[in-house]
Amino acid sequence: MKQYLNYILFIIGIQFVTAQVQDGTLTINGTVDFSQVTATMEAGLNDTESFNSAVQPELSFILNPTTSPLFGVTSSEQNCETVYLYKVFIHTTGAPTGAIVKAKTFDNSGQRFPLVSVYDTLLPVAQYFGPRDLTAETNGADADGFITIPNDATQAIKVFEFKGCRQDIPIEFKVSPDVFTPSGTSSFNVVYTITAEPFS
Amino acid sequence: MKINNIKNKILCSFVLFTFVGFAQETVNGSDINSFIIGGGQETTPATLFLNDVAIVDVSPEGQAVIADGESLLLEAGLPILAGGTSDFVPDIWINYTYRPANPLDQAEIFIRTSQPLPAGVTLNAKVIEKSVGGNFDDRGVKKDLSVDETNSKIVRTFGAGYTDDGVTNGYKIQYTYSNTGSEELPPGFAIIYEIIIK
Repeated sequence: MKQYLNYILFIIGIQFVTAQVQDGTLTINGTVDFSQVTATMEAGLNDTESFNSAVQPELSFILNPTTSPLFGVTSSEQNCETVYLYKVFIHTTGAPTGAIVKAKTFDNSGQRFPLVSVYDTLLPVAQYFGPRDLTAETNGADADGFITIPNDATQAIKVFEFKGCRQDIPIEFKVSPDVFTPSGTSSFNVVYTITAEPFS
Repeated sequence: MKINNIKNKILCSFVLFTFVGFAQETVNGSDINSFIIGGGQETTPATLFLNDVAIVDVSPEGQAVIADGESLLLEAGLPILAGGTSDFVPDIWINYTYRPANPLDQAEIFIRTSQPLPAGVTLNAKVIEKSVGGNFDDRGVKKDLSVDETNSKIVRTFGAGYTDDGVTNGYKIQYTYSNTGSEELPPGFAIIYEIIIK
């Protein structure tokens, strides 16, 4: 019985995939840390040259383990046999005046969780969401692939999407200040919002 | 009429789909309903460190490196000054970039000569134009200032801003001088521009 559990869960996953969305846990490791080395040396220029965060935060989203009368405890790995489409939106709050924050990741950055699943071994036609891949958003991206992050909670913007559970997705941040951005250290918040869509 | 309606609907749909295709996808991050089902939200602190900037230079002549209270030497129109009685030194544009160390700190720009002017020579300067480029308030001194070895304020107090770089940007300075004794300027004579934080 135990050895077929993954398959049973997978089939049940298909059955219930449109009925409900399972709960997961969003984890962010690392905080954005922008530190300008030198300001402009040319008098007259606005000081807008962009620079990257010293830290690349890593995002993970994994379905929670569950307990049911029928199967007992089902692990995160087993629950992640059910594949959803996840979209990651980012916004900031309290960003310093004039500072334009941008973010990006690369296609298929991070790792599938679990690394290999029953879903992956299916014929492509049976993989209802297609491969468990990550796609970086290109719509509205700049020449380097960065999406401008709004300093407005109501306008959290999509930076990438992925199918199935995934972990350790590195997110690159850069900032372009101007002379009206205060000198010294300013603090603000980066907010990550993830939405789940079942296959329908 | 009906056909027109259908056409319009098709057109509207086309326009809408086109719009959807190019719009960036957003959610309302302050509305828990947008992510409560199967999603989530995490907030992390972030920091931004920036250097303060206070640099001034002039165009079309001079080198461009001045930081925090240091000063720039400029040999402005020396050949014209030698001899004659009254003439114009070529116009100079002052460019600056200023991000204060503290938000309320203000700065001023001064000019002075590197050496005393010979007897019989007087030098005046004033701002005759402010560029539309850059992002700064018009704080230029528009009446003649007597320029000598002591600092004369050519731009009054200002906060954060930038003028854009090069000729036609910033403040256009006009120099006038009088040289009643046909004196020559000493070797190494120069005009110094300095941005000073109050």
